[in-house]
Amino acid sequence: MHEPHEAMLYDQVLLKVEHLKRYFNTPKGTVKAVDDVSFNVIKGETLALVGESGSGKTTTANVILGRYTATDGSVFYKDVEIGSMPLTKRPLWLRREIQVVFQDPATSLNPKKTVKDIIETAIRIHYPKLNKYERMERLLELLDYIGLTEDHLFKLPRELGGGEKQLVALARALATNPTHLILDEPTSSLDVSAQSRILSTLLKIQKDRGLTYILITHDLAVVKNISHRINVMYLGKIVETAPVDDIFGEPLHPYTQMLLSSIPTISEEESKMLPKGVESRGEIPSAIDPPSGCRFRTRCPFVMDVCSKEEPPLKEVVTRHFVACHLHNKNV
Amino acid sequence: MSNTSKDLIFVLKKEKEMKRERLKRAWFRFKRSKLALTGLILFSALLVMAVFAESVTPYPKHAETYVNFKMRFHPPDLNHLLGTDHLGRDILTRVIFGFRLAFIMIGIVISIVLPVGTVLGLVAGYYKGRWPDYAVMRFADVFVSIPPLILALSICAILEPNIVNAMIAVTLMWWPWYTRMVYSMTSAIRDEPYVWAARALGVRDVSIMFKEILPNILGPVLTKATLDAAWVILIGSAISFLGLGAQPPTPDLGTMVSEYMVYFPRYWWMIIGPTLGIAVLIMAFNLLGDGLREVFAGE
Repeated sequence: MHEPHEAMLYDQVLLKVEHLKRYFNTPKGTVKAVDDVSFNVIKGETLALVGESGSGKTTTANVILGRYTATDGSVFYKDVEIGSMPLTKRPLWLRREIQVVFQDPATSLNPKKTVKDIIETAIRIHYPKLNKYERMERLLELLDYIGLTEDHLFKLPRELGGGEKQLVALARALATNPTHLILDEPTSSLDVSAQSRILSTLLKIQKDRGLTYILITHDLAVVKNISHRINVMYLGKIVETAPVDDIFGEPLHPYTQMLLSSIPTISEEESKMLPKGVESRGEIPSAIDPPSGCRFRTRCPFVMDVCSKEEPPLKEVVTRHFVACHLHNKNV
Repeated sequence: MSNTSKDLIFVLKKEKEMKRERLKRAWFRFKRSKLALTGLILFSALLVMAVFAESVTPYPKHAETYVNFKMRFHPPDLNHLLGTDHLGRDILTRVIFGFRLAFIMIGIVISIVLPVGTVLGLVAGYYKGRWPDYAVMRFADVFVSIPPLILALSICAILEPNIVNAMIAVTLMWWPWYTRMVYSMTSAIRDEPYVWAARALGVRDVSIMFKEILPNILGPVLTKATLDAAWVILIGSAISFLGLGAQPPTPDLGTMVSEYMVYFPRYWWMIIGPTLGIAVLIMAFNLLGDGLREVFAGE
């Protein structure tokens, strides 16, 4: 588990998501990919968005990035409302500060551009005053920092390994000197050795530069290693928010318990550490017609009468540990 | 400081080396195919012949107005490898000048269609679902909806029948096919993560189109251009054959076929020259196109 570093203060909110909704109209009906989600991102932290496919985590990140605009609600970045601002309308400083690393480096790097061209584009746009040699100097520094060498400079993406490609994508994002990095499943398409290389590089960058990460993943091992806080999402809603130790030590929402108990384990010791009792069952329902009340009730082993009638609010049960579940909502 | 800039110069030099290395590899992929190599050799030979037609042909004067009734309908022999025609002109000479005309035609048509069609397709594909898409693609549909030869023929019929108008006709009917191809490729690529990464960096739309997307579609576009060049020759010849393109005595291959056809089969050799010429030219372009496809597919 990764200790929050000193610069991280809980009242320094960098990004604020308020009642964010993002619907998609399809021939089958309206898909409520993100349905009323609110959370804060604190400066210098790694906030993980965790959930199955279809939980809305990637859509949330895409709204923050500007790939989609919000259907309703808002996203504030340093008091600027960016949720309704598509990427192409965003000012350059905003694009400099919020950068992204995509899931699959094989498609996130232009196959026809060399590593040098890819990173240089980023430097050229955000530091137009630098000349060719200064740019090159900066590029070499960056490459060295990220753990690549001069030999990689004129290679095309297809001539690089998966981990190296992802490092290049990371270097491109860092070239602008961002404050905020959206990591969209940065390791899920890589093999294990490359994964650990990326993760340790991410940790190093955060330690050196105090970057804020939003980490989208379904890999709980990755989450445990590098994040400070976790948002567990289910069908477009946040069901639980807590610091990483609380989530792994004392998960409150049945869905979180289910996710944790479905981590594959090898040794018996490992499996003892995981919560018991909640077996994974069923599949995530359609976001076009989500269940009434609590959306998880169709798969929940502790389902009660109230669950289908009322939607549980996200409530702080323990300090900084929020959960949206009727099991923990009795005293209201 | 001076030390680092020396390093930088060294690094930039290395970039050139790497580029050369990639060209070498592309050439290796091309020459692996015997047919592609044949196409290239054939193409170069035809091009050299066309450029230096005055020097390589035995009777350069026979290309235009020239009459020598003593030598008319002379069957092939060592002096006239493909025989002579009804006005006593050397057919080999005229075929080689025909190559020149064909190359000029392809050159002009491609240098208009390729950039115009590509840029329009890029813009329409990049702004798919917005007004540039509708404006460009519906306009292209108008041209695509008319059968190509009919369109070309009607344009030539409306304008004066000559070689320039034949080129205009071919250009007009050909550009939408490029635009459509580029459009479909661009609209697929514009949502690739690397394009989104470029947008996140703040790369402008025009730069995304030309620097991120274009390099990725250039291979298929150039391949198509080469393969289509053969088709331009055919259509151009067809227009001329029907009397709406180049007029006699212009040494156009299609015009020659239509002129000489009437003497078939009695003076059979007359028709052999220009038809063989068209066939060889088309084969050269097709083989070359296949080779290019190989080069780009290997990447």
